[in-house]
Amino acid sequence: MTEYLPGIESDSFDEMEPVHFSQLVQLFCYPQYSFPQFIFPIRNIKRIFSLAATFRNILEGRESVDAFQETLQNLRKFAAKSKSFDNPWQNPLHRQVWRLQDLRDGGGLGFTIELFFTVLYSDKLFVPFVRSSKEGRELQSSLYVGTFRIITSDWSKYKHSLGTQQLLLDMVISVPGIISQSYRYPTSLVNEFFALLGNILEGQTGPHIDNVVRELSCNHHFTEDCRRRALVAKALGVIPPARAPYSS
Amino acid sequence: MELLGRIGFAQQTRNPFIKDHLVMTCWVCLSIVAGWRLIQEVPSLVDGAKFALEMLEKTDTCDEQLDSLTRVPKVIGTFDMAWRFLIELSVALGTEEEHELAEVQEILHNHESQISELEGIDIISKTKAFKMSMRRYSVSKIPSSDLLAE
Repeated sequence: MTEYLPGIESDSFDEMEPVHFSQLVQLFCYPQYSFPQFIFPIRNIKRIFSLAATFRNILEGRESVDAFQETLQNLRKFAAKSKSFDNPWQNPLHRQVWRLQDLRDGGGLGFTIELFFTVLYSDKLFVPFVRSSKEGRELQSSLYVGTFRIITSDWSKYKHSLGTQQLLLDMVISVPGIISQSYRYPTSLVNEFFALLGNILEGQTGPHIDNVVRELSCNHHFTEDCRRRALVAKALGVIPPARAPYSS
Repeated sequence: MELLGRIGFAQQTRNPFIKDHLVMTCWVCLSIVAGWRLIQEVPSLVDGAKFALEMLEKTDTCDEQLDSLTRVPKVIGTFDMAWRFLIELSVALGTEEEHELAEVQEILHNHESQISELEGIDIISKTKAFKMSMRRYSVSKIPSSDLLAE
């Protein structure tokens, strides 16, 4: 069913499919949202590994530069997109591990919320939403909020799931994410999200929380966008404050 | 779920020209709720995640082939290493449309140690070992009565 959901990208589930570097470029550089929903780490290392033979052949004069053009184009697309990976929060493999931890310990709560917001982010839902009449937007907003409340109804069972906490924090801090692209979501839904985040993180501590608080605090100082500043303040209001860095 | 999948197909929910937006909105909301319930009610999904994490988080193993590459920090480290190398290489190659062979060879030569590192990833045997373990896991999931029936 997820294959019909708009905005959801996934790695191929076909184990027999030959691997090629262009698949990695396609997977990471073109999804509308930040990253595909399902990726297979070792398969993607294999895709990068497949370039080694091309490099070696050129080095040893067994392949012409013409044959290298496609790889070169793919490398450029890859490098342009990869700038954002300097932020450790953007490493797609971390997110994949958190999804597994969330499925194991968090009943898939973080995964389902992430899926929901990814679908809402897509033009397929966003464009008709902004073009709707006021009544139409209110109706859609209430459907979204109702759905959110159902899928988060048993949050208290999973508040200790580290993978779930990480996924939700990542949705706040990543670009695009809840704060950076908040205009894509109804305000009432964003408010519900922050209320849930506050409930889940209440009484929780850890470096994963401290890092996000520091990142948001830094962001708060530099952003000039009023809406964004307000959301950062809201996030900092529900996320437990960062502990002082450990010093020996 | 099957019904929602069929509706999704029938409505061509990925088609950007779809007209009935409210139907689409309702279908998305119902599908998200159905997906969430599926995760709650189908233990094999959670079992699959448990198994994958067990494989990735192993700190000691009797299976020599399933060594470091299948552990989380190593997988992430290997991926980061390969990823960063490609970025470095892309920067070194610059934005020029055309490159002479000697020029590309020189750039690659400057990154030879990283190419060798990439070649050194013994990915094939690790993947085979991982798949074998997955098969062992799949077989262990079949109820013994089913195995006896074969």
